[in-house]
Amino acid sequence: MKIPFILNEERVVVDADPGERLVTILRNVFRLTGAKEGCSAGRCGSCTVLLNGKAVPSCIIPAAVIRNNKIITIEHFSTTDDYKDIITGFRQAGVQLCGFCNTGKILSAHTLIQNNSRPVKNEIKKELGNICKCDDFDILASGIMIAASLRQKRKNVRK
Amino acid sequence: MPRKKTGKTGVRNIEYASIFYTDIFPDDMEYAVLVRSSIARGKLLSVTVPALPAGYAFFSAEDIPGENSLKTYKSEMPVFASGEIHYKGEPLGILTGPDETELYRLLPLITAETEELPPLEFSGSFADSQIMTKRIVSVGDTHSIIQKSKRVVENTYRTIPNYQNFSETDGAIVRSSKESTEIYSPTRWPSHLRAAVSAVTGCPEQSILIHQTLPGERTASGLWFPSMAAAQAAVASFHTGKTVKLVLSRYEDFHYTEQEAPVEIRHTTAVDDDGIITAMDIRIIAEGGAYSPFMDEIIDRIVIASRGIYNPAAYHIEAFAVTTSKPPFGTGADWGESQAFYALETHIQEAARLFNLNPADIKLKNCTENSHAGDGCWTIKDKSLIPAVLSKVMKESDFMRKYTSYSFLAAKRESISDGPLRGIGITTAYQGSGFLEGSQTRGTYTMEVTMEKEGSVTVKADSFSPAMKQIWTKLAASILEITPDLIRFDTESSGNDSSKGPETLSSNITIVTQLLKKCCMTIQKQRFRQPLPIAVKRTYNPAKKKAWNSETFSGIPYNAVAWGAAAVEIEIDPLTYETDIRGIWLAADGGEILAEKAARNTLNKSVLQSFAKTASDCTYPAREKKQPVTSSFDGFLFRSMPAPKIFLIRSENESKGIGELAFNLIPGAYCAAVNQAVRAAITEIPITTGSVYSLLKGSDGRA
Repeated sequence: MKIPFILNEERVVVDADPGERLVTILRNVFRLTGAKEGCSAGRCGSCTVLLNGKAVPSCIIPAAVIRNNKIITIEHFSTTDDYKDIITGFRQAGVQLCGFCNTGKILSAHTLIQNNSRPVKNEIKKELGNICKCDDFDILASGIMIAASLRQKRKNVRK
Repeated sequence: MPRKKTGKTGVRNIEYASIFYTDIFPDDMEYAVLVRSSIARGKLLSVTVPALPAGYAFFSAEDIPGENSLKTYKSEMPVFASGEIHYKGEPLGILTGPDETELYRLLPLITAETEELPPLEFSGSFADSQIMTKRIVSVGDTHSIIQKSKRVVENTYRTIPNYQNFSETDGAIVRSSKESTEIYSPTRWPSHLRAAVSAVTGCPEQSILIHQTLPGERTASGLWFPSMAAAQAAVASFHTGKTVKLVLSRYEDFHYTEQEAPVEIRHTTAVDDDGIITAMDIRIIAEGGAYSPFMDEIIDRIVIASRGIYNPAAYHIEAFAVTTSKPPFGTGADWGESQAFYALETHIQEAARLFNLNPADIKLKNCTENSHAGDGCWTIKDKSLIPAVLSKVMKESDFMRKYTSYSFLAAKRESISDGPLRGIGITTAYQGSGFLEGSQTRGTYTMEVTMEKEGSVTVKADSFSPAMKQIWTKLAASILEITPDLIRFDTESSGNDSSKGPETLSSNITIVTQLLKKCCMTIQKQRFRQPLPIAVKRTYNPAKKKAWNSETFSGIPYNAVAWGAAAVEIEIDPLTYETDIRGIWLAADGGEILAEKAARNTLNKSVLQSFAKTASDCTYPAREKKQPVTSSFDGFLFRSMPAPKIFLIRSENESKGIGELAFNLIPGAYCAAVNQAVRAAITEIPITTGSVYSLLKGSDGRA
């Protein structure tokens, strides 16, 4: 079945079984390896992508769902200013990720900040989907709070 | 399934990118899946393969060009089952082809004819024929002291594997022929991998090039298991002539890869009126599954740790590892020591609770400066810093006041709603670095440092983590008085020394760091007298030292020992039975601290991971309902959990590994805290909200 969709702002068509998982398509067909296969159950967050701007686990998204929808992977997201805010926030707070969960933490943080421009620790804990235990939660939460304030500042400057 | 794609995607070199073997897609690559046994024990009569589509092939034990055997020291296990099946899920062969989806469609069509035998099991008792290895250590007349003692406490503690790792699954990418082989693997033991692939394919070890990819956060299965996956993929690649990528599914990772061995420990302890431990009787049973290459080392380490920091006049320790028809059980992050410390420390605090003694007093009264010296038993060469680390944790956590007041509150409590359900636990433990000297698992460690003509430095070691790389860069730069950017690391491995030990048990920080120091100091002495380049190689060979005698179970077992103490304070919600962690305090003696930030990060991370190992609020929905898998990945485990307060005690001792110390400290402290809050003895980890509820319900009918 031919499935057209918008991948990283470019129109693409993939020939796939409608039940095939998005993470497999991204990795095996498009060689976009930023989304990692973790729990394979939509819970650990390592395979996160943005589906129409919202962070979703690509390991439980069947190919049929992506038809005519917009998918942004970490590869494309990393070229944006939003990414720079997050990575700067993480760096300033001293977040040290294992490499496997980074995509999930970065994209989840992005969605969280998008919905809540000044998140506090408890809100981060509640909302953050990715739970890889490679780094201290408090440090990660500080990183997200710094990233949120950086984004706020940047947007205020633009206005 | 043939696929088409159109359009372009923007792949860039970005900061987050790390090289995992699953992210590598060579041009001529084929995928592979393993065909596994559906029975736990029996005879394999035949494997029936249907007509496969063009480009797909199946290879079994008969197709192995070399030996059908993976050797790990004394232990041997087949690469593919041949004749006999020893556990459910044992690989029978490998199926390869260009499309992964098609492989999974073909997989159930391959069937095996078998003659099933009753599986070997362990449920409290076991047959003599199941004994894999055993140890008996006895000093003094333990049983008669226990019989005469008025204060005796006995409990049996169990640990079951708690799946907590959702990083990359095991596997390998291999291109193999008779002449040369190239492998991408997350191995932490390249020399073992090279020997394994060489034995299976017949390719000379010198012609095998290994690219080490990131090992991720794996705790178990990082040693011999990648060698097995690479050997299996090598068989397929040898025949197809193509690059074969074998990636285990998450289900296979859960059920068929090596997990930490389940352990059952019964402690019987006699204590006199002054709080002095007079005798300890300890019986340990570890389940090894069908194969367990490191079980001798694990059992030795559990036996040594089962007495902890205490030095009773008499003790008797019996330890058995038993074979069962389950997939291999083996090492965790800590090689069984955490299970031993959890059981012991929970038990000591339980003894204190029952006999109205203070657990900190018991620890201070029963440990001496050289707590393991004695006749016919082991000695730890490092000076004990238990009093220092314990005092620090007691002071910082306000342990004495809290323990007394929570004991008082619990004693006064008439119903569950009567006052807060609070508890505080304190533990002391150590982390022994390096393999037990003289045991079968010893290996050599080599470090080679070259200062090039232009002043740059190349460091070549067997295997190292990113954190280790940071520490070594800083150390080498400081000794050689150069900037860190001039130091580069060589990760490609194609040597011929097959005796090198694995990167585990803090061997890098305790052994290889010392080698790096020696190499750099030698270069620093020579660099202004001799022309560059200068290459210096140093090797550590524990076989030359005979400090540890595994037969008499005496001598000096570890290269270095880091001492630690921890306290955990909790409160249980009387309505939901959920737990709030109110405080975590950990003091560690790391000797000379080379990188304080890295040491703190390591301890922080291992505190989190050790809580994940100790507590679980989720049972992962296993595909087969009969085999539920407990897991800790389902969100944060506690309703609240503050950042741990970590205190690094510096000493004149050499730098030593502290990364696994939290695994030895946290489970006991957490369980002891829960025990105090619910006034009952926790005897199994991982602890769940359900088990807290059951304990409260059972403890004097309070729930």
